[in-house]
Amino acid sequence: MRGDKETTNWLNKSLMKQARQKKLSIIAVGVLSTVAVTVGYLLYLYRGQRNPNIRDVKPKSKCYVLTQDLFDKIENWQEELSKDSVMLVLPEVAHLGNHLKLQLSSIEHKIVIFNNSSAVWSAVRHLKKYELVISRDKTSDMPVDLRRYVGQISHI
Amino acid sequence: MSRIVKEYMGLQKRLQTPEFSWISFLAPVDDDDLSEWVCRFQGPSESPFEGFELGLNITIDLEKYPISGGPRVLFEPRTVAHPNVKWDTGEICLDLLKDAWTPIYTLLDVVGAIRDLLADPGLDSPLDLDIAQIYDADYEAYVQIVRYRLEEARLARV
Amino acid sequence: MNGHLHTVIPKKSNADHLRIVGRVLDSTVCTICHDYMFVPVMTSCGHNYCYECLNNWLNNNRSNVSELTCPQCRNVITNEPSLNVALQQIVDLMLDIAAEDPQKSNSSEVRSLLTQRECSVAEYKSDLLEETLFNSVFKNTAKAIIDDDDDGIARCSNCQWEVEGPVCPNCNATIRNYNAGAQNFDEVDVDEYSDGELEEVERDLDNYRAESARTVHDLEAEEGDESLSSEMDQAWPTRRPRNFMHGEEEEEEEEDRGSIDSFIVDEEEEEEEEEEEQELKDERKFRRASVALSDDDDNESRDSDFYEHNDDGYASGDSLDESTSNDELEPHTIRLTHSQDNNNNNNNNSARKKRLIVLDSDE
Repeated sequence: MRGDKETTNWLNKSLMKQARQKKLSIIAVGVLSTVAVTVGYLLYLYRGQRNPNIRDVKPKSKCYVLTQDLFDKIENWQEELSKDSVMLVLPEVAHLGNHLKLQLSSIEHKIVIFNNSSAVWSAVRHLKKYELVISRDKTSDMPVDLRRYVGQISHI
Repeated sequence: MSRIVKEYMGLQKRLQTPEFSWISFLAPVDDDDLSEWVCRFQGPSESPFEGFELGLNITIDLEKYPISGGPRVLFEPRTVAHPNVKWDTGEICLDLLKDAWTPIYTLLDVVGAIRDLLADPGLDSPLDLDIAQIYDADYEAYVQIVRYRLEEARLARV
Repeated sequence: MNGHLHTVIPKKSNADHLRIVGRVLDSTVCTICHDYMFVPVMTSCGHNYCYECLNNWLNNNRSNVSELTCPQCRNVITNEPSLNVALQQIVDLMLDIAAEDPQKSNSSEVRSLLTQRECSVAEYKSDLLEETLFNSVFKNTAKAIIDDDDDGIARCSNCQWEVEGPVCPNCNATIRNYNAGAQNFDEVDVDEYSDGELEEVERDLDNYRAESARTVHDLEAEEGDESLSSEMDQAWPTRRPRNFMHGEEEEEEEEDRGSIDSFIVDEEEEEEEEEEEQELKDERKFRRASVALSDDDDNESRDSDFYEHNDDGYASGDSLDESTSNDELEPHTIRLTHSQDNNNNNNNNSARKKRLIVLDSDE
């Protein structure tokens, strides 16, 4: 039979080993959970982006705010408006809107001509398209909160 | 025989009358289960909804109807842009569906009231503030937006 | 009966007869359950329902007892609906005639209707016997009755205590016409004022409302102490809607608010300050019903002392079951009577006598 001293030693060692193992496992759990939370948070950010609302399902939906500038810069409107998109025509370029309505008769319902500029921004908010396409000179007219309603703003 | 069954039986005849010619159909999804109904109806004239067909989903709590509660009615989600309709869910803000409900009303009454609401929004209790603002500030633009949504929905159904 | 219609109508065409019969049959159908009304009850606003259906509606659906409304017209149902005997007789006639028909084709349906009738009638009768009609919702609640003699103050139909909220502060009865028609404390009688005055009055009213709201807000923010009641006395005027606003200017009103006179509405009444506090926090809505109170004191004048020492076991908070029974006798006059009259020494022969309850201010 081993000496009591050896037994005690052996017991102590195994206890310490257990204690160490416990400590390690606690640390491991801690690290894992932190990692998990971080990853989850990042995913959430990535998916939700800044927007609190559900937006149009297809991520590439577009909302164009028509100005003279924008009108000049785009060549093929038939192409631009072919997918999930809508065009909001500011009052000052209503004539352009009408022209486009005639020209693109099959998708003329996608062109909305406004008499009142503030209503244009309300429409942007309501439509919640993924991308807002607007010419640079109109950026200053945009209300600040608009960012919450669209995913991405393309200044052209 | 319960009230909803009576209503169902009387519906066939009433839907034939000219008074309800604007209803394409109003029927339970399944004859054996009167708790889920579907309705399709013509949008009211003199409104941007004219010429379009709209869809409603109706749920009835058979225990409560009609005394303790009215039907739960939603537009097909993401089809109707209207100050009193929630775009994403189709939820309708109509007093008749909430605190003004009395057991006098029938499904036909409800559908009729919703149709009237389409033509005459109630601006004191909007569910869609942005659309309400557009309706208020620029009616013609409102019409175009509503029609844009309806056209897209119609194309999606095809 | 030899009336002209009795002569003419039977001679009309079949089509006309069918129209009449159809219309009559439609009138026997309950708008709630779409079934025949074997026990039709009629509300004070004249609408008919199955006893069972109306009972269900009144007891199972509303958020609180304060709103017993008619499903068809939303009028408040202040009195217990009664059996519409005439309509019941018509329904019975229809069913009896249908039952006479020996044809087998409709016998099961007819039998089922007969059973239904039997059940409905039995249920009604049993409730009637047990005095639990409508689940006692009318028995257990009281109405706010406007006392026109007393400047439109509303009184509990149970105990005549002055009432301003949804519950009677004295006998705790729920007031079932609390929200009814809303005789708004702030309502202005348009005819009483000329155009210029009306604007002014309405402006004053708005200011008053704003002031009151502010005052209440301030008061609520403070800690409770004795100064509270005196501040309230000043800021919160009494319940005298018409006289209060009549032709007075704003400055004068503010002065009036502080004067004690405005508190004394009736010599025989005293007010409790605690009552006031409670009432002030409630919304003031009263029904403007045209009501006249009988005021025959005959030759007997009683003052508060008399009643204090001669109560004969009658306490001011006791419910008075028979008090409403006289209500229906005259449609536009609600008389305050108490069955307890009989208990008093001064029992007299006149069936109706106004009696005032003394509101003790010290408890």
